[in-house]
Amino acid sequence: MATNNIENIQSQMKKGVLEFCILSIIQRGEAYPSDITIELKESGMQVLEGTLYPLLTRLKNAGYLEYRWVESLSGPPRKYFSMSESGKEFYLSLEKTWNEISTAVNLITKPTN
Amino acid sequence: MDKIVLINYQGRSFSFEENAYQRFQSYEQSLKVYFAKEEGGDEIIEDLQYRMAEILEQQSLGKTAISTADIDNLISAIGNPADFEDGEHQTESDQQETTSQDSKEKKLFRNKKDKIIAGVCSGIANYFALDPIVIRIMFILLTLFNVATLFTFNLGILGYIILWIVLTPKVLEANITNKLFRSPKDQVIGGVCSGLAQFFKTETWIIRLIFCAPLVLGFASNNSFDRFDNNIIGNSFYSLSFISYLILWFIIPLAKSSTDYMLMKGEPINLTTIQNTAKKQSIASFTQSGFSKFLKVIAYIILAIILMVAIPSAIGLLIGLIYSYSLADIVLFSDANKVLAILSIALFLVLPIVGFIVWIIRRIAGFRSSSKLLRITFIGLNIVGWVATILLIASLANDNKTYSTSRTTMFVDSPSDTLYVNAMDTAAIYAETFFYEFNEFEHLIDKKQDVNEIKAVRLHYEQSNDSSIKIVIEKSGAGSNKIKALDYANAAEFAPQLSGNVLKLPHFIQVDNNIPYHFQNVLVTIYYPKNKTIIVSNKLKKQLSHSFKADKHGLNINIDDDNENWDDRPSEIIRVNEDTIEDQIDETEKMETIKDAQKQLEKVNKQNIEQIKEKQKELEELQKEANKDLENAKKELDEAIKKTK
Repeated sequence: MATNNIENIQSQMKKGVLEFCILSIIQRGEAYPSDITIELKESGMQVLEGTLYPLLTRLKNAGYLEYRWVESLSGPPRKYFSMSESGKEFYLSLEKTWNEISTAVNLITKPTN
Repeated sequence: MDKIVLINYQGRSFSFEENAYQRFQSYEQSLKVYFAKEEGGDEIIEDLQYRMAEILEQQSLGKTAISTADIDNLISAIGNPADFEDGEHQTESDQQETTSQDSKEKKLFRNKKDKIIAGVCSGIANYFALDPIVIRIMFILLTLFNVATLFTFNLGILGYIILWIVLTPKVLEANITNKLFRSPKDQVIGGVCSGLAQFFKTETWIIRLIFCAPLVLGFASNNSFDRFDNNIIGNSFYSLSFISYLILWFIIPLAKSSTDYMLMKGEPINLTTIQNTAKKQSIASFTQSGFSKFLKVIAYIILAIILMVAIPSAIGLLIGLIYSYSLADIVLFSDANKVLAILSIALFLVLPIVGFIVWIIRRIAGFRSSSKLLRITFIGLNIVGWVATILLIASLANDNKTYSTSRTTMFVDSPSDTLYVNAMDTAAIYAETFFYEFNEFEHLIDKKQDVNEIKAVRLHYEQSNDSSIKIVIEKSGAGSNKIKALDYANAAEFAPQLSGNVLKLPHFIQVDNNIPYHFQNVLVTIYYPKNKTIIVSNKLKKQLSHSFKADKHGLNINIDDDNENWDDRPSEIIRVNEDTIEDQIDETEKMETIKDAQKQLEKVNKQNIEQIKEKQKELEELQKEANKDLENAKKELDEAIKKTK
């Protein structure tokens, strides 16, 4: 029961941040999904491609993301994702919230001496 | 070293080790299952498939074949459905709504995800952890029932609208492991029964029986108990099971992929189960739930009822057939026809019943699979029965295809105004022969030493314009051509006796034993002119009430109600002008009453006039008196004047 709760809270914490991180990567410029996973992994955020793809599709269907087919050297064209106008707004509001939360959390968890 | 398979995947060709490919396939399947219910699931799967092809391509570089280890790497990169369960819930695009699985408290919502109209049914199904289709079917049945019973308001539709308004919409995760499908693997008509059986985790034959029972029992009750009018129950069940089967057929989707099969059987979908089904297809393992036990008990009860109905009716049929053998002798005549008849009765009528009983007994005894040999023999013999029946019908039809009539006329030469029609002196009043009528023909044909007595005599009356009573006797029969038909008709002996004004009619025709029955019958028509009376004796009428005839329109059996008390009935009197006499009586009566009324009126008038005259006289007298008084007064006045003068 207790471990269950911990896992639950951990995944809850991860959940909103993950979406924010992904949007942040795409916001920097057109991205290929597996590149996103690599970048996340390198910065210490583990994400499965099986989680990433549905998330991208949902964001795309919500109108925050756009994609286009880009010719690749090896094999068929790849799907590259970029941010739409409404996506940028969405990202900005998320960013604002994140800043508020992180400041608040920092203040709480590392109280000034 | 494993076998190597060459696979074309996503437009690229890969060589897999066989085990690796199997693992890859089931993994892909599990992804499909996981994303199938997702909004935009197809797109996600396409993307993932594309990505997997890409990974595989990278892995296969510089290798002869992709190994299971490579597949494991691929799976760890993309993840097992169980692993991204959490991430998926957390990234729900509808931010303000949290799924019910997080909260312990279960609430009723409308389902935004899996809906047809507004997701009400789906929401209810989610609440009870049922397949939405079950609730949808219940809703449709409720609606139809309301339409059928002409309820003032429709509970189903009204309830739906209320729930639509009241319930809040929400994206609900599928919480079922058991879905209702039609099973194409084990289907007789539409696979509805086997699908239901899988759903309720019971055996297919039980559901089939529950569906068929109303049909079988309805049929049985229509046939063997036609004396008790209990067909309403049978008929309504008939249509209920038939209609519900059709509805289910249209509503329930057909199981197509192996995922569907697993959902149908209620197996949890994960890698191992998918692998299992891929390997062993479907080996039924029934975990007996309470409901499936209940269904089984119902099935056995139905079987018992069917046995109780089927065995007596089979015995009854057999007894009936034995009794009617004597009849068969008369009707079928030719030996070839007799053989055909025996074959068709045995193989066409009795065999299916026997087969059905055998099937039930085998079921109860626990034989799962039906014996192939038994089935082939059964079908073969039944086909022989069919052929025999068709041949027999064709042969009989050909033998009796034309219908012919010969006619003789007798005139009643008697001064009397009345014709008495009576039975033959020798004939006994009709006697009931059997305690139970196994066969209605039985007492209509009597087999005698040399002749068959066929009770096929009818009596008609018709009005005519002749001066005397005329009796027309028409003998009819059927044959393969006109001449033969006439021969058969004339072969029937029918000898009415006419002496004076008494006509005696036999109530049967006699046909020689050597001549087969060819629907011979006699129609006696009595033409009676005006003012003549025909009196038919009660005895004859009773005899003739049990008769049958065959004509161009088919066989017509006339059996009057046995319960009627013939002895209390008066002899029938047939006479012309009865109606008109009554009419005349009526009119004279009317005339008389009118005359009476007129006389009375005149009397009243006279009285009135006399009264008026008397009154006038009185008036005159009064006037005279008054005048006298006046004159007297004048005279007195005059005298008084004179005196005063």
